[in-house]
Amino acid sequence: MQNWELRQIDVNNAFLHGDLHEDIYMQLPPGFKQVHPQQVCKLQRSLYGLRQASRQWYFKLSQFLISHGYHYSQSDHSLFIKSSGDRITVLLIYVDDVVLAGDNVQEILNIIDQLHKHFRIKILENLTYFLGLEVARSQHGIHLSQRKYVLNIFQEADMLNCAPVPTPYDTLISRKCIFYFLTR
Amino acid sequence: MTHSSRENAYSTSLLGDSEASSFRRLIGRLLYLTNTRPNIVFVVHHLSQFVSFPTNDHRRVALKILFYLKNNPGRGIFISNKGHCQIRAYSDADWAACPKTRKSIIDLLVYIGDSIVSWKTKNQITISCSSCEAEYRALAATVCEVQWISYVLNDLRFSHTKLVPIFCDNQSAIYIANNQVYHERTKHIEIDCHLTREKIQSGFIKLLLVSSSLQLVDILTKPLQPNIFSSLCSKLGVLDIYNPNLKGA
Repeated sequence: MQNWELRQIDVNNAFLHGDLHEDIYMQLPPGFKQVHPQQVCKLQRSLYGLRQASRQWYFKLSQFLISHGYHYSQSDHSLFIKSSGDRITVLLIYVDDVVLAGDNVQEILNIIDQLHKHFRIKILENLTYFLGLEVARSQHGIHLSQRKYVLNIFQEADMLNCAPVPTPYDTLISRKCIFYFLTR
Repeated sequence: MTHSSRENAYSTSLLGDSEASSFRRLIGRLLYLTNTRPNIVFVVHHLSQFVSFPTNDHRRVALKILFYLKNNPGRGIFISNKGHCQIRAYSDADWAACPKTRKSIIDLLVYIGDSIVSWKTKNQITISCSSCEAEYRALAATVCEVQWISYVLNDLRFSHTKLVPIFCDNQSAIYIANNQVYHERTKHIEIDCHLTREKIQSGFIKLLLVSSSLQLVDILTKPLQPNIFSSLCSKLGVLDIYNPNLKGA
């Protein structure tokens, strides 16, 4: 609406950042030589595949953002907001993908910098591709599409050469009842 | 026509294991695709109820969606930066839509300004005795969605103080909501009743009647003629920037 800046970043190896509150032991990974026959190793950080990995990562990231003056929205806990004066900066988090938006470019660059120092991130400049959604921006607004995703579906279904039709409804679907009796 | 002759008229052969799993995969992908394409929600929602025992016919209907997508793969929703951030919502219900369980379907569309932001179609959990009741439940679901969106907007400091119009094509549902008097007949929809009525009285929403022909939610409730379908698509703001000549076609 207000021509906010839109940026995107990606956190490398996000789940490895989480701290563990429990003691977790694992068998030695291949390549390590066992000195004792019963020897195991204790995890200091969370690993991919652990049940608590995603919660610990969220905890770590939210702690970090809160310490930098952000607060999460009561209506959506993956939405972090910082407002200073009349400027506002918003972070939307999906696991390790983060979209930054706001009218305060300086603050956006600042928080990207801080995140980079803390977590090591991939900085992807302007928002163009997020979770399979293609984002195109013009002076009139934002267009969201899933073009690549659709083309992938065609490829998978082996339908790159089929002929288009005007509506997605098959004749069967207008005879809804019949459709239902087909099911068990 | 009796049930048995109906069954005979169409092939009911179940898909084999590998075909069935590729059908499920396809439905999964189409479900994610509805993120940017509210216009295929109806069919995908319908098909997704048959993933446990898909038949040849289900696959045929699913492939039809792909034929349609072939038209313009780059089509998606457009969010305009022009104008205001007034919320408006359309609510509808398809009463007793499922012939097997006779459950109704809730449908809703929410706009901010001229851009569509939220849509939903969902089977109701319980069975409604009348279309009015089904519409009323849909209305309550719409109110919840609108309330949530307004909270998020407030968090982002887009304050909107105006009444939120909710368009509904069922007159008796509107009467129940506006009428202070408590009817015995509406006792069983008490929670939905209180929810919607409270928001009306607090001046958060107002209910407006929309004629069935102007009801945008139709695209989520039923299969449509090609010309109506394409005109609704453009009203939803679904267009293809890669093919500007076909704007909303």
